Amino acid sequence: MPKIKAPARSPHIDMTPMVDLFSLLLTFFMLTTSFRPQEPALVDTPSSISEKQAQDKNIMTIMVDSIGRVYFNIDNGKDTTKHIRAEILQAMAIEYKVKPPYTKDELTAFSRLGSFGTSIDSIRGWIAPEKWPRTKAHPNLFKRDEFQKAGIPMKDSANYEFKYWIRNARKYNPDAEVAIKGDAGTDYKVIKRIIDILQDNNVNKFNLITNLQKQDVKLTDIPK
Amino acid sequence: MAEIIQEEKGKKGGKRRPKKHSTRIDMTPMVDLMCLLITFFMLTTAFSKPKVMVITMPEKNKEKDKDIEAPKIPKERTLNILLTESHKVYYYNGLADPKTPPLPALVKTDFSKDGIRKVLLGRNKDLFTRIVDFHDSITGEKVKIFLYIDDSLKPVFAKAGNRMYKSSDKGASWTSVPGPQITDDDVAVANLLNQSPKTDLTVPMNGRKKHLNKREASISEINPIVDAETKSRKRDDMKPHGTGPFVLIKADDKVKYRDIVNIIDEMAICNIAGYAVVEISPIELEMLKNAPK
Repeated sequence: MPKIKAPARSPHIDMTPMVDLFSLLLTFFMLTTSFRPQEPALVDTPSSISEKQAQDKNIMTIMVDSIGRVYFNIDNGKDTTKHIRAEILQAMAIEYKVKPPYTKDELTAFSRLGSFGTSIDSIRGWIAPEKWPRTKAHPNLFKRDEFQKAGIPMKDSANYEFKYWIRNARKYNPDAEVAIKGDAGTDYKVIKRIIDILQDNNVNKFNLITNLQKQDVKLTDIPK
Repeated sequence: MAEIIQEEKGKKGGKRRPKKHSTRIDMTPMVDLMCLLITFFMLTTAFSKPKVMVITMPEKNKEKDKDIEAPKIPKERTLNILLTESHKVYYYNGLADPKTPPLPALVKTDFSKDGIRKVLLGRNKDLFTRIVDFHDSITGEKVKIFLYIDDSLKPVFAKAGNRMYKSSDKGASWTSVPGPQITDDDVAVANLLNQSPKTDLTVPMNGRKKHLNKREASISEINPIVDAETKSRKRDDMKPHGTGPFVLIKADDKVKYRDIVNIIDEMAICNIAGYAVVEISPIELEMLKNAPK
């Protein structure tokens, strides 16, 4: 009996539909993506029922982590030709008489970076950690995180850098909204202090960043 | 789909033909790369923007508005919520004034569903019911038609003989509704908002006051003034104003940020129209010390 031969098939698979689909997905992701910003600290935000979304431009974000360290971030605003971040850093340099003055490269690098939590003395190191002189006491000073171990100083009244950051930020971008991203476990008095400083600079509206957690309350829940 | 494999062994003397390539391109490297890129974008993309809860704090008293009197809240409407360490919540009604003892007693509660929420819902029953009804009427099948009327339109409506747009199964039509439909309640409400009620409690909340007015105004818009049902309602039922609580949230130094967000969230859940986060007073700190554990 002759064997029944299966028709010979090419081992190649036609990948065209797959490639089509992949290109579609890739295009979609490339167009919709907004990169998750790198954050200096892990913050576990409290939850609320609010469904309002934070705006992604023109916003200054104050981050407070669980042990009360404060980080600050402001974007360059809608009109990027104004170089708001660079202006703010320049103003801070004048305020604190930073020597030598920041170079153009340093200012540009600063405006491209995000959230920071350093004192003004070491912000140069934060901008370019690889250029910071290494000492025997601190051999690890080549990582950005090494410079923001304490957050922005705001605890004692003599060193009130945070206040000046806010003041200058308000000066160069008065339209920016304020978002506070606090860790649920942080002390309210830290947040209150921040709110106080902001109110001194005429900010009375705050966006507290929260997780969405729905709550269902019906009429029957009203006690008789 | 079979591939044609060119026979290479042609005649030796014949023309040298260029080697024919297959028309197919090997897409595997491309697919590899695309997979990588897709994975990268999928992992780095932030789809959901962070959610925010907006809070407006009472403006600080400044030198220039020293002469402006802070708005006053009636004692009966005030509900004070005191927050303290380890997620404890205390509340009392009215005003704690050391000059007029006895001091109000603190009641202990918590953040659970049957805790402070029950208290707030009980106090805010009127407004809460109204808002839920309104939501149901627009989301449910039953659609009511609301007419927004202000004073300037009053004569016009009086002239038109209070006609009302009514929809029924047979279609929509304009019908005449007998009797005066626009009552003075609307005017009364407006007056109520303008005049500052007499009270004993002073809290600096200039910024807040503005917000409150706006919110109450929107509630009066919701209030169906020319609605067939209105006729059957009692007059005082039409005034949700002046009954809801005004909540003052006070926190001592040991409170965690979570509790503050929770309590403001409760305000939103219970649709409290007026609330403010204010400084705790020394007498209240004293009261917390002696509070039931």
